[in-house]
Amino acid sequence: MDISKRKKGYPIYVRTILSLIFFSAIYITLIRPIRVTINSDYLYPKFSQIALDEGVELKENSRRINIQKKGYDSPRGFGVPFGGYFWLPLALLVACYNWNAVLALISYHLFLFIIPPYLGILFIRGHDWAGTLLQINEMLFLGIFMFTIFFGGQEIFNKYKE
Amino acid sequence: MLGFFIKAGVFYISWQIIYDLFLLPNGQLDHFLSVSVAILAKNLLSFLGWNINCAGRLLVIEGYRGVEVLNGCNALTLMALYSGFIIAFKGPLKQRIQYLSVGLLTIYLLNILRIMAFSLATVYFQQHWDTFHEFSPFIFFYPFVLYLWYQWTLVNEKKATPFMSGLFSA
Repeated sequence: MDISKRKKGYPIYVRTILSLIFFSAIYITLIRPIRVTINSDYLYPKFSQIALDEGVELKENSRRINIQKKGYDSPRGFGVPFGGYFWLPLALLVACYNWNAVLALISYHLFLFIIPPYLGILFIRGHDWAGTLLQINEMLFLGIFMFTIFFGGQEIFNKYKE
Repeated sequence: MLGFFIKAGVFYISWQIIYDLFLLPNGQLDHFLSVSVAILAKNLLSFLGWNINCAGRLLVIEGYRGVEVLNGCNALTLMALYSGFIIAFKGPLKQRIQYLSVGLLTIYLLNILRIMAFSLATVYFQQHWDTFHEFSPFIFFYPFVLYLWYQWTLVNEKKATPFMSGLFSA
């Protein structure tokens, strides 16, 4: 009896609340400042140097690189990965023990550390197609966030109904 | 499930390419969405008694900072995001069209409310305007989009709630 109870663990709604609180606390106290530091100390100086050489304007943002090129209505760029759009879905996926999706989400954000910055450099250096790829990346980023929230939330809801 | 993700991914990539190569340079769709939202938000705020002016995409409540509806603020991206799910997730064609129409129209209307809220934010909490702007989709759009997506998955299982069944049964 005891063993089966222990295996079942806490009810899903308790796990979800605890997971959301835990990951929010980690994000606010630890990850967010790290993201700001990575952007302000490493990414922004590097990109502003490249942008300066190419005569391109960078729009300041604490957790994003926004490249404002002539002829474009709004800036294009990318955010520093592992932001709120990572931690919120992660909290839901961890709550429903969906480890495959957790792994996929982590892999995707590791990918975001490499490809978008490279595309950003190409875009600054005059490869306009890289700007389109940056926009595709933004669209897929938002889509993956919403889908993860949706399917994670749905899984939690279904487990709650059980 | 894999088929759904592939379909949705192809839709989003195709949409973004079409947008970047044709719709953005043409500018008419963005212009229409941005300017019409600004005008309707201005009219609604005027109706509610605010002294507000509108010039193109710019809204200014007398004596406060202005709000400009840029391309990124006209909800077109969210409309594409919403549509991608409805198109990629299997379901009957007639109801798919109904979900697309009602969803896109509602996102447009919600964006009018959002732009009104941005204008009012310049009056009541200008110092938190950027934060409000950043998190506004979580208040105005995402709950609605997630709800309609959920209903759409239920349609496929023929389990739509009475409210949505009634809404889409005509």
